[in-house]
Amino acid sequence: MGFGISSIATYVPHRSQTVEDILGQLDETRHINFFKRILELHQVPVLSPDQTLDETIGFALKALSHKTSLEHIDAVLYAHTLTIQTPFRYGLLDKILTRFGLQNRPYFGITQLNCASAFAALEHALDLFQRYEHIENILLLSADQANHLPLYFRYIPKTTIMGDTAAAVILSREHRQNRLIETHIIRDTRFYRGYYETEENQEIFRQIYIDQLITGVLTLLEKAGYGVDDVAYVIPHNVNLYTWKKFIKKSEFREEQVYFKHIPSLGHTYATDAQINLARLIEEGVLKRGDRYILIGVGLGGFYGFAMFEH
Amino acid sequence: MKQLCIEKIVLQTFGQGQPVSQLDRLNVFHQELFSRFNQTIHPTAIQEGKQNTYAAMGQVLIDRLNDVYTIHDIDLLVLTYQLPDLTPMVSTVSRLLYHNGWSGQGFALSNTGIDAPYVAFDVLRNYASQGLCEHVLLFILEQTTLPMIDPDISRRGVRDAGVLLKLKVVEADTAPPTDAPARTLNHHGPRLLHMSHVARIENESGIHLVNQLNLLAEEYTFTRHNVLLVGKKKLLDLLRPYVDYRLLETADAHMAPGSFFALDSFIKQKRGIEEIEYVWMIDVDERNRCLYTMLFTNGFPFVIV
Repeated sequence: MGFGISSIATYVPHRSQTVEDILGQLDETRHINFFKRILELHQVPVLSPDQTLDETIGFALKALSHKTSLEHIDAVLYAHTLTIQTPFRYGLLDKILTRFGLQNRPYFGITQLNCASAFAALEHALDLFQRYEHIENILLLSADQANHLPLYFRYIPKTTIMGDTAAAVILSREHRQNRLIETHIIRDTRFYRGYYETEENQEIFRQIYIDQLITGVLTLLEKAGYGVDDVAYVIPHNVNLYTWKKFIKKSEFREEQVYFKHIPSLGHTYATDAQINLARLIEEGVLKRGDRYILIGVGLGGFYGFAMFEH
Repeated sequence: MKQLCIEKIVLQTFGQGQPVSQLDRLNVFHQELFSRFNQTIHPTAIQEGKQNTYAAMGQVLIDRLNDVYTIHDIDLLVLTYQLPDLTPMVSTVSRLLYHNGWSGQGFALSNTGIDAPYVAFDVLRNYASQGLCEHVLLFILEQTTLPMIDPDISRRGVRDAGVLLKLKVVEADTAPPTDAPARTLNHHGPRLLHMSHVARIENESGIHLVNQLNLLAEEYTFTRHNVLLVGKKKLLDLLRPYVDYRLLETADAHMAPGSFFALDSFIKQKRGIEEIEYVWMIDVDERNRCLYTMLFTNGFPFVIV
């Protein structure tokens, strides 16, 4: 019992905003060098100010519809970071799904694991496949955007800058490629304040974060019955590159196993980092049959999501 | 085979909450958000609202539960709602887990609308059937402090209200329901026996409901006295021509937790709850496209705090 990723599409806007611009507008210019040299973050994709979230998700779904038919989708899951994304009564998912002829599909959103919410959605998808025999294909949507928010919502001090994107993934019961092997989620609830965390706790989080990341990956591998050498790629979140260089230094993973090359130009994109990186890895055609890869996401608030797949 | 059993239910309506911190920042957040959707906020709507956050409401419900029930630990904490929380970017679920020293997992279900409790029970039923949890807390919360004046919420007199359900995963009764002796109140707490979700009902809700009801009536030996149907007036009106079961209307003022408030009121009014063996909750989403039903054994009087 399980599922495979049968199709994946993402929407990354062409517009971008540089670290200099974001930190400059926030009067944080003294940190620009730290962001560029240490964290190795240069820019994030940003939407035009008037683009709405349903339009953003619509672009990802449209791209998906060019790759595969959407008519066989049986249910829809929506993973998101921001808990308030539209005005009340906007009917976000109704609008999107109606536009693509999916208005009668059951759906619900999963949130409050912040940027690791998509990993909880993968676990829910597994539950749905196990429970309902008639469900063959689940559409997993993930999206957040900060173009409607004050600029400080794009900035986490000493950590990252955030951009706007959407991802649409079809999870299929019978699909043999990109098969889910195992998932694992860590919730360290002492950091529940998330974006509003105290400076003291932020410092504690920064100190333990890499170790928790490594512990999580190793736990996932143990649950799946594999070792570090059985993994072709770690497909990371894009919070910053420093994380992954430290991760490589402190773990047994080798640099060539970690697919981090897009981090400087993409930055962190809420709950879609790993999906975007996976889509790009697939597009590059480097994944070989049988390659195992691990998607990783981290959310403010002490959330870590891990999912292992086999190509 | 595992089933969800309700061990305790705490219901509460909420008055004025603590003034929200960083009100100006919150107004700016909503102003910016609404402007992108060509909508405007009411400048004093939040300030004049009750200002209850889901975190604060959840903790009040937990404290009340703690007065009568010892929660050692829980495996899963789930939050669901129709109206959005007052404050963005706060993980209420994590906060409640942390503050109460619980080690379980948690998440919130969003974008569900009025179907919130049904979607939550469906998800939890999945978890239960796979043995992924034993002790569960489900919060169904609604708060009304929104950045704009919503005419529908004002007209209906919607109140800040919440229900906390302490659920336990138990082994299902092994005997077929039809062989079970007719019994009235189930002292073991209500068990979730059946759920259904019918899509594409459009304007045929009545027929679908009657069909569902007939199927269940055969399986569980419904009589005109032993089943109570709980739902909105418009759904019950559809059923009236076809059935003579007892019907209980939910109040508009309680939104997603409405069925549980209606049941609580019914029990307190001593309107013959002891004769009832099954409680069948029904609802339809706002688009009138999906019909949701949940059938429980009736142990409700023993579990509502």
